[in-house]
Amino acid sequence: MLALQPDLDHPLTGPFWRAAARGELALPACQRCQCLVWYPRALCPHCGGELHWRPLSGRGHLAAYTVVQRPLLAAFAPFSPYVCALVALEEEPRVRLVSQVVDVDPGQLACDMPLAVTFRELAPDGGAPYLAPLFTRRQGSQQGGV
Amino acid sequence: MRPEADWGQASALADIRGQVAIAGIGEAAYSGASNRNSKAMAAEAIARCIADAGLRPEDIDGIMYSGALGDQFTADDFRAHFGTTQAMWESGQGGGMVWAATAPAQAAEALRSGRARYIVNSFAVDWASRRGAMTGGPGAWHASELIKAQLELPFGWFPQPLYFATFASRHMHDYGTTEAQLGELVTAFRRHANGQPGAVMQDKTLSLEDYLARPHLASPLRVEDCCLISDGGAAYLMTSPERAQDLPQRPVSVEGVGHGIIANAPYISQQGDITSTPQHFAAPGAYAMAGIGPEDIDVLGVYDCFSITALMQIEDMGFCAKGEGGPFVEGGRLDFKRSRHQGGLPTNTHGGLLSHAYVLGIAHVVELVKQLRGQAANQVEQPRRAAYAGFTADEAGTLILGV
Repeated sequence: MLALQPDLDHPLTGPFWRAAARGELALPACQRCQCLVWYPRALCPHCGGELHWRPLSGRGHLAAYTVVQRPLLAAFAPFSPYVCALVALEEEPRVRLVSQVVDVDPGQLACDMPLAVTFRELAPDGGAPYLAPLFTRRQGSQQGGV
Repeated sequence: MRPEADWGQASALADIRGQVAIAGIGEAAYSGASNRNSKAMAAEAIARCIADAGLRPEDIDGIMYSGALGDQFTADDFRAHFGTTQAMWESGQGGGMVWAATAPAQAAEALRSGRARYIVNSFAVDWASRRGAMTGGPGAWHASELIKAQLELPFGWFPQPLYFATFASRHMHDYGTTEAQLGELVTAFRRHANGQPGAVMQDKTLSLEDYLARPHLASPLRVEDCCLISDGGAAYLMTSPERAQDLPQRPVSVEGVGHGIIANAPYISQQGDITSTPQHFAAPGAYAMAGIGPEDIDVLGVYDCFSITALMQIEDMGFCAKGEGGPFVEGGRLDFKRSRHQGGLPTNTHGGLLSHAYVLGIAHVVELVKQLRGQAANQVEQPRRAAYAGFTADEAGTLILGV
């Protein structure tokens, strides 16, 4: 059985989920050169600077996606169909957050569509729910624009 | 989406052109769940490989396998199974996937230094039999890796079919690749399996219409775009070209080897160019070592864990321009009967991971050896050079063989 619950106390990745629980999207950033570092690691890979978790705008674009019709992970079967996505973040488009897109008709999905974060509870497999940064169409933007 | 130029790199490999010959091949039966275990299948494949090379078990003094998997066939297993006592040079840097391509690079060093004369590389899996007991099947490793477990699984992005379905959406967006084009590739490999004795899908035909009528598993991929889950195994035997001349089979020469890896390994979600594969970094080194280009390859074996990964590697190896893989595979270009001088690129002539068996590339190499010997079921017209493209998502290997 897979453990799907994120570990809020994990030293490397826990801060991501604790921020989500507060309704924030936060990623590690270098205190010295200011770059975003994803995935989390001990030090900045570019300059060796220390990392701190920086709250972000939550804006981004849909880099790529899949509409999951038949989950191979039984725990996610109750949500299917669901949309898994790689989201290119506005502050650093080379960072791609693995997430889901919600409240968008799958037929309306298109790469590069503008997205905004929205926090939703996920509870795969009937386990304890966790608040996760998911994405939805960004209001006031033209679909397909970059 | 503009890729970074430095999203991966080639590994430096010593020039081993013409230093290794493949002089034997052997296979264990390919199937669905069979209640055979991987070591027993490896033993069967190795026994046939040694016999094919005209040797005896006591002649074998080198063995390679995938050390990353705990159930592969080691030197101790060899001696116990064959009842021999010889000392053996041993390496866990062999097996399938990328390493089915790069094993000859390490074998060359052992042959050159005299540590081994006859080296068997084998790979076997019993994942069809163990399917129910494995977490996510071949996805088990992905589920066990900390970052993936903490930052990918909680969003339901797991296992591999979802990764490559996601990347396929971007390939389609950027280059106009269509589902029908993926279907052309899938059905070409299926037709090859239909003519391949022992292929798991030998008796199951699949037309393009059938393919398009099937539902999505994870858009834009269908079950038919995803590799089988199989039991089976295979092996090949490496020696020096001089020794190979004294053995019964026509020697197949290793002409080139290449290896590439992405910058953010093992995290392919952060790969700089998700519409490409690290084959982009692996293939050029293999061509350079062999002193040839993609136009000189007569038959291709490409790691087709998914239709889209095969299509992207065909592009990344330079058989067509980046993004033109979709139109390239149309019109039966991958069919074994359509040779290069007829504008074709015979590819996965045994049926591949999609329709022959999912034994992670070792059967691709065995098939290419058969092609170069003139012993294949779907025999390409007099091929002189063959290429194998091995893949593990974050790494790729290229092997060029010749006669």
